[in-house]
Amino acid sequence: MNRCQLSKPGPCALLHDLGRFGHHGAGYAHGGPADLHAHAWANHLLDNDVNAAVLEFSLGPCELRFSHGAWVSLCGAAEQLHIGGDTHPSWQSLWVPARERLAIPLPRQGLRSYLAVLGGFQVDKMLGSASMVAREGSGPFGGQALRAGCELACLRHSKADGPGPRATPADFRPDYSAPLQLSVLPLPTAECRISQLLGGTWRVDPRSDRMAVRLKETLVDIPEGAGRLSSGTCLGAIQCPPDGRPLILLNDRQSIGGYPHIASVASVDCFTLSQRRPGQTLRFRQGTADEQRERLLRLVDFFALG
Amino acid sequence: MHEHFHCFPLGDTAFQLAPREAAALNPSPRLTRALTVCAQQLRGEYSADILDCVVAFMSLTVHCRARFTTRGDLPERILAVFAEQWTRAADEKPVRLVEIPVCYGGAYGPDLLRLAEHSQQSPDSLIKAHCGQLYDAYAVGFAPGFAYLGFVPKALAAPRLRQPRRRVPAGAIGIADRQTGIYPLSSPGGWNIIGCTPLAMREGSGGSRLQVGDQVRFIAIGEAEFLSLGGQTPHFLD
Repeated sequence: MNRCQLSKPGPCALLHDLGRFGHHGAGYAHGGPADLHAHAWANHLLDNDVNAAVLEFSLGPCELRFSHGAWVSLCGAAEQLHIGGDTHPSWQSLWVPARERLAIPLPRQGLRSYLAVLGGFQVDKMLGSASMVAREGSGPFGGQALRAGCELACLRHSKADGPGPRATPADFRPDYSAPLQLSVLPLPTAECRISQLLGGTWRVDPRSDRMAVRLKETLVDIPEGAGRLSSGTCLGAIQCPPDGRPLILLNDRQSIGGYPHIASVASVDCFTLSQRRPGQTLRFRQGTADEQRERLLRLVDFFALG
Repeated sequence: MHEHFHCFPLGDTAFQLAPREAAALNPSPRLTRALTVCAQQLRGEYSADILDCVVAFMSLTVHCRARFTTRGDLPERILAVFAEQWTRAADEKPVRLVEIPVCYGGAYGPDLLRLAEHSQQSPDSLIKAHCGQLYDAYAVGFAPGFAYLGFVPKALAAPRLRQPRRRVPAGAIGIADRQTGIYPLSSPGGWNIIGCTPLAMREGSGGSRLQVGDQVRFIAIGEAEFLSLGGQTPHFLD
């Protein structure tokens, strides 16, 4: 067995495959990568199964070694990585020789970087998935962020087994510092007009996490929440708590919520949203159901996500 | 009944079956049964394409594979299955009664005094009112094993906190509007906390002590009994 030793995990290192399904009714979050786009590219560059477990690093710096050589790919926030003394751009497949140091520096933009290894990280699954949800304490390693010194099992490969040099075309590498406009659809049941979302500029609040991105600014027309019964949530649901500061729900969101749900952000926009740092600005635009679905299906079909 | 419901897209990978006007209807054990069986039937019919079904009070949320959402007739199909199950759900009775011991007030229920003042009654009479009736489990969710129980007497109803607490401990009993529930694990939360139970609400891998459709009764206990039942002194963070 090839062992990956994580000497510096950074502030929050988690394993994620596509997530846990079939347990939402008992209250388990779907989990899965906050940025599915970067996660899927990391597996794609190695010809991995789309559901292979990948390491999701928040910020950095991070450092690890493999007991035997390994093919890896790093996609997402980090623009580069170091293997031994050499520096390489991210978004490509790379061979890491045995016991050589792989270092991921603190990215200049974005929040999360995805490190895939050929064949995926091998862990005991929970609820049929390798995904870890810290808030629930569910998944491998009790769902808690991986600690320094932790070891992960990987398959053993030789350099000849690899996919060879492959890279994501420049057009598909997002610029996480660019202004972000999110496509939103109002809910037929929304109690307030979404025009107030569309007009303004919004900033990401530092208290954002994998459960939700919180916004700093306040809605003027706060929908009445009193007396509401909880109902199912979804990825990208924009909820409005009584303090008027909208929440945009991400992968570790609760299955059911009671705050008024006023509109939904397109799934594909949630992936890039999850890479925005506190203080970065967002705008909203009115989307259509067809446009949101088409953009999602383009991603789903390209990576054969099913 | 089904004519009062509609089914609409929730985000780009889910659909929700819900009342057109929530205020015009009330949750009931019969509606819960109809939605639960509707969910089971849909999952059986479309096992490859429906990933998850979530029943909550008067709604059913169906999470699908992205490709499946392009099926234009899915909302009508969900409505039709619901209509059929509503008719069948008329004669069945709830099956389980679950008793939950609770240590109320003090460090166990930081919002109890405020709720008692708000409803112009003594803390003891609030506790008696909370224990004095049976509740139906109308939903399990928000967190693994979190059961939403209805409904507390009108005098006990209280809106959610303006800003959620950063940490509510496992076992905390909360009130939000006319719902009451038990936090199964420590998490952020916006409910008014009146007490804590020493019982674990999560069971094994993927399980929950309470299930949608159960009946629940709360029983007041003292601190000594709370600790002897294995409870730990709770820790809240605003």
